[in-house]
Amino acid sequence: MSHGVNSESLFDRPLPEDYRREWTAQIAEQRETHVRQTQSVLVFRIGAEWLSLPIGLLEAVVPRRPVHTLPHHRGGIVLGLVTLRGQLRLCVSLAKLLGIAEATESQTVIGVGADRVIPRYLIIGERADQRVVIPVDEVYGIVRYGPDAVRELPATLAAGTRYTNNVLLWNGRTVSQLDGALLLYAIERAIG
Amino acid sequence: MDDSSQVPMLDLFRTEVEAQTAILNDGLLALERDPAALERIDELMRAAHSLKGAARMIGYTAAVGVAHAMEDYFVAVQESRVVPTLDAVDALLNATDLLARLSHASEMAIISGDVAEQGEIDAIIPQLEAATAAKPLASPSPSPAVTAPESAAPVPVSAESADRAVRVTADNLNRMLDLAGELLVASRWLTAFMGTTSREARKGVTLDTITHAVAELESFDVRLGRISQRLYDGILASRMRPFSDGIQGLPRMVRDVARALGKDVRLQIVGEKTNVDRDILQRLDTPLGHLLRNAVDHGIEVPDERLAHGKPAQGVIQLEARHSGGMLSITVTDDGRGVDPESIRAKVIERRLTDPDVATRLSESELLEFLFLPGFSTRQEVTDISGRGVGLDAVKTMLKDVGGTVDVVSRPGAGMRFQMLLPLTLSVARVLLASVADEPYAIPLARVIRVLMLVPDDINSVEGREQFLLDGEPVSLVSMRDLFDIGGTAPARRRFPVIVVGDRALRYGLVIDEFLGEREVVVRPLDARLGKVRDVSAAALMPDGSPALILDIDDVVRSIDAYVSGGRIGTVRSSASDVTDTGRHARPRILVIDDSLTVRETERKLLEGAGYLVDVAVDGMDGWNAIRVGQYALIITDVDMPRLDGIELTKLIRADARLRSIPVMIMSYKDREEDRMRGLDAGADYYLTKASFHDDTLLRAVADLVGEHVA
Repeated sequence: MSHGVNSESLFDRPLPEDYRREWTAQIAEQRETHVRQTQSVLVFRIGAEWLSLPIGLLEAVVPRRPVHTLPHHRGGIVLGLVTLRGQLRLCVSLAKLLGIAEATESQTVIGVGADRVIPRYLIIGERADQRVVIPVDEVYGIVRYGPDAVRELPATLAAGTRYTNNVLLWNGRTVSQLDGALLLYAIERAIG
Repeated sequence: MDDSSQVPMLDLFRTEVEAQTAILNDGLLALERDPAALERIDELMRAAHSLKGAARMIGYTAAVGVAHAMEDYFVAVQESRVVPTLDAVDALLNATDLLARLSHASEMAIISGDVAEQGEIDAIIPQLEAATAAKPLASPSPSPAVTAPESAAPVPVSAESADRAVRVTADNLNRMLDLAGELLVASRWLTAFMGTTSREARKGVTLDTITHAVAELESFDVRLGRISQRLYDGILASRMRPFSDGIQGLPRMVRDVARALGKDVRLQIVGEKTNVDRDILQRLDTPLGHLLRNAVDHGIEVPDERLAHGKPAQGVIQLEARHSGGMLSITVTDDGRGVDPESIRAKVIERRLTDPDVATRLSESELLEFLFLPGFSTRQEVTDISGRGVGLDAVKTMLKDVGGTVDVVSRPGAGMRFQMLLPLTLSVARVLLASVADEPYAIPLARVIRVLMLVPDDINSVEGREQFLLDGEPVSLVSMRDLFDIGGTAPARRRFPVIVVGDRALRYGLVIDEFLGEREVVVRPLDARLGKVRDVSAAALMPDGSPALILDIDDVVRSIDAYVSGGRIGTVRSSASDVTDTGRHARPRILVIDDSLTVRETERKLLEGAGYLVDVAVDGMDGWNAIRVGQYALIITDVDMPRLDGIELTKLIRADARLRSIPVMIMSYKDREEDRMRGLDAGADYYLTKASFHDDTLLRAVADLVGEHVA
């Protein structure tokens, strides 16, 4: 019986403060990680801005190759032609379309890890006749996020932007969530 | 963007009829296959509706009636008041054909309302009305297959030609697969070879191992080259189609034209099996049509005249295709009256096309060249079948486009012969490669007159323009960096590489940075979205895979001409300006959204006439994108449109913080009070019926909303 008394007193014993705090923290954290991460975007950087596009619009991320400029197209968003994967592709400047200042040497430091800052091309577009190549200064990768990571644009900002739906909180930064369909539409119009 | 503001309304109407009747035909044929498949009824209704609107726009009452009756029928089907019958589909198909024919009536007939087809119209409208009034699910009606079988198989959705399909024989495909396999094996061999070689190298490199390795590599190179060439040939061959594929409509056309002119003509085709590149085959259609029509109309005489000249009553036109000296030769020979060179000479002198002195000395073949001038006709009256000259001009243009030539021989009284020589394929070209600012450009060899290196002493300057002497004649020099606005400076050197281009009359020296040599390149079309890029005809791939631009020499010569004679050639167009235009112009920009081309263009013209800037969008979704990207002072939208209708669009605009203040005007055929209320409830500022095109209601309403604007 003494065994029973002992065990009872064990259960009645007050919990150590540390133990309780530890569990509280753990349970709280677990709930957080269980929030469903439903959306996937590709996060990349142009100049000083971090941007994201729905994964569905992305065909590939490829290394940069020389672009052949087109005569009489200087100043527009069309940068020229580039061969990627054996195909001639149209290269357009997202930076120009969005009005982002082009990267300067000092800005490359903004990269998440200095050793992985490699300028690349994104091939985007839903249909083959829509695809374009856009140069970006850095690709972070695919980010999955849940609804709680999305913030609406402040009203003052919303009035001045056209292609950004919301912003995404990610690693302590804000990332613009671009409206892919609208972006493709604008690119198509600017090319023609 | 399309610039149709100069196109007459009637042409717009015809374009629209063409587009909508295609939809009607497709949809009706699907309905005929399976009357229970109603997925496409909405589409059919919209097509009929658009046609009605377009016809009304140009005041074509006869066409309005037919389209209206069709629309009523489709609406009845939508509302399940009638079930489609094969008889009804038949009547609708007839009505569609009738509309197509009506669209080709003369402007006079349309305005006066006196069309030749009135009898047919009077017959078909009651048919359609009867079909519309038919009771649904009545006891078996006399027409067959009233209802579809219960287990109606899904109708195959009409073949949407998203991807251009190409027919390749199984044999050819297998051969290419074999070659691709060989290529794969070869590439593995290289990997293995490198492994062995590096192992042996570790043991110590001797002259012997190197000689051995080089010998193996050489034989590998030969093998690889052979496989690649065969693979390439195979793929090229799969682009070939027999000549007969491209000329199916021609015998019927010749027959019809001959009959209309009271002539008896036989078309004889030789070389039906000759292989022709499918792109060339496609482009041959128009020139061949012109040549054959010309032959029937102007060449072949009427039977009596032929008999009088001792010829058989039936004229013969021979169309022949064959390969000749690495080119495709196509000849059209007729046994008609031919052309008398002297009548051309008379015409040339009469029209002062050249010096009378020169004209009298022109040779026969030089005289025949005049036939290819636009608008040059040796006939007094121009028939509606063909006006010789207009058609031949088109033939010449097409041949120039593909790098071919056309030759004509006339035997007065005995007939004429046109010979076209075309490249066998458009996918390979021999070019001269030049580098400018480290970017490669390719010039078709056929267009290079001369290649030379100039030293500064060769170049002299006249009024600031540089030139040099070529065969004793001065030739202007232009730097390609300047011409293409590339900027920067060419590498310093003592000799300047120059390519002379142009034609006999006008030659220019194009200064480049460096010659890269001569090469056969695979021609790739430029991205269709770019439209025509000035001075460039296509692209090609360099051996390292990077792109080169193939210059359009005709364009380049024009550009140089403008550059040399007038300083600046067109300013650099900012492609982005269309999108990012932030309203620097004082003129208000208006967006017109309508799925009918006729309505869009009417509104555009009306508004542009009143001094506004106008953009157009083809449906609600297109419009919604345009609104978010552009900056508009006013949006004018139709109601019934595919993808997103005008009411939903208006609601979207009103729900958007940034856009909600833009005035929206709805333009619709629907003039019932509840339609108007629906529009205004959604947030439209104005609801107008399309009748307001005919007075100034629209312009007054626009002036109300955005202020007046005088251009």
